[in-house]
Amino acid sequence: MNKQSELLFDINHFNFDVEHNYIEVAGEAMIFHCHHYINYLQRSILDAEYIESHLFLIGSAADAVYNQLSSLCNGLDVESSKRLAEQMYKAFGYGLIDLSSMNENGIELQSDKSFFSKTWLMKFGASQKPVDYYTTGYLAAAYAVIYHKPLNEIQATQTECMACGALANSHSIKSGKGNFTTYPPKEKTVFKNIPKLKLGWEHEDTISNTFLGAHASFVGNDEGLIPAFGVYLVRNQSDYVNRLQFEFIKAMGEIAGEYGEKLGSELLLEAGHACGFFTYSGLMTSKEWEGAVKPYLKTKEDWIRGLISVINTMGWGYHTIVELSPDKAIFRNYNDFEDLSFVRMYGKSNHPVHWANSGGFTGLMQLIYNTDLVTGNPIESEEGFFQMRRSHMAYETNMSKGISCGDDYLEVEVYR
Amino acid sequence: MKNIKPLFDWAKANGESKIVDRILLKLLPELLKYNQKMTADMVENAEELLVEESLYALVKQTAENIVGDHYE
Repeated sequence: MNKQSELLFDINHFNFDVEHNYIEVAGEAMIFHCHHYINYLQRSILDAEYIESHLFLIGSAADAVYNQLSSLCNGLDVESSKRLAEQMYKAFGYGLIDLSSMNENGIELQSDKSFFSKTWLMKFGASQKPVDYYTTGYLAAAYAVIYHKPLNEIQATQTECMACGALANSHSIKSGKGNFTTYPPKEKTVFKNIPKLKLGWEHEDTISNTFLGAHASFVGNDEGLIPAFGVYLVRNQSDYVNRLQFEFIKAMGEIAGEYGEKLGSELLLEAGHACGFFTYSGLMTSKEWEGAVKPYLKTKEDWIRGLISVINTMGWGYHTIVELSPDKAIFRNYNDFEDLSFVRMYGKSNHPVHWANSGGFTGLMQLIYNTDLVTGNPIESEEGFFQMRRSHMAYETNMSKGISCGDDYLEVEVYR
Repeated sequence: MKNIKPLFDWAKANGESKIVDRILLKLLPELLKYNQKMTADMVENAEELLVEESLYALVKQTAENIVGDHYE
């Protein structure tokens, strides 16, 4: 095996924590999101043109990746570090990068395989401005780690973007006056170890055990992408993606207090809603579902229990049901990824911060009770999604409890 | 002053879900200048929402850009 093809990053080397439904890679909690969620989140942030959001869009990625690569590249030489950074980027589903031309001065990188640029185009059409902030941050972090540069003395910019019509993305990384936010060290993950209310469904363990470990099969293909269940997945550093939410709401609050936070929160919930709707729909119409879950389903409520049994193996915490009917549900999540992330980075919150989880639960209710998915007629298009939202009474979402607020778990009420 | 409620209703009927929130977020600094703190719930529940014509024009332009169509 030559140096170029040597496998330096392998997701199978990182264990899934079954007790907490959680996975870390080199100190960073990792979670999957779909392209619907990530792009909706990023577009909502970019819609607020009066916020200097590039500071945290790049900075959040750079911070998380810097922490991770600092650990993973420890003891490796420059060339091996570059290969590892390329392989991790690909494995997580962000696309392909070639760091061979990176040197002491930085890198001018071109790539025509980018999760962000490709899926922005798919979801929204052409963009006026470059959209692959994550890769800019990733490259800044890789440069800082490999060449021992301070992260706050790096200029990182995306100059061309396929989402704007370019043939390839271009990123410029060099030493100089820093142009993105860097953050103080964060705390380690602290789990809430309390007795869990189990799902209480006889098939839960059978289904969860079937899917346990399946997360490791979601790694980037030859294009560095993870197509699955009708969407593109990415394995995010949880603190990268959650910091985007937290910094966005903070900025909205600085501009307009609770009113600004309210406007931002509604769109964060919608991002989670779209994720729940499209990704869960794809999962519940997949071959894997057909073979391993569907035989156990008798009622619509079973579809929700089956879905929860599957997603509890993906590293988002332990989801369960307190109450469930077509008109009202109360969902709970022990050690949910958003609250753990907030506590690591910011400490306590005076309001719930689990918009993605809660929006996801709302999307799930919408999917089961407001569509014909369970009878074999899923809605797969954006326009179909919009039409369904217009023609059915929407579910309301009340984020009632959160670990970052001092509670023992996340709880959300979804009702109509 | 002009009633902005029918414009929002048109946007909701022809645009993406949460379009009202999106319009309001995009125009937040302008809304604050006009001392307006309207929300999607307020728009939904109001029979009439009167705003200054200059703000109405801004909302109309933003709504049309998002929907990709003209509001007559």
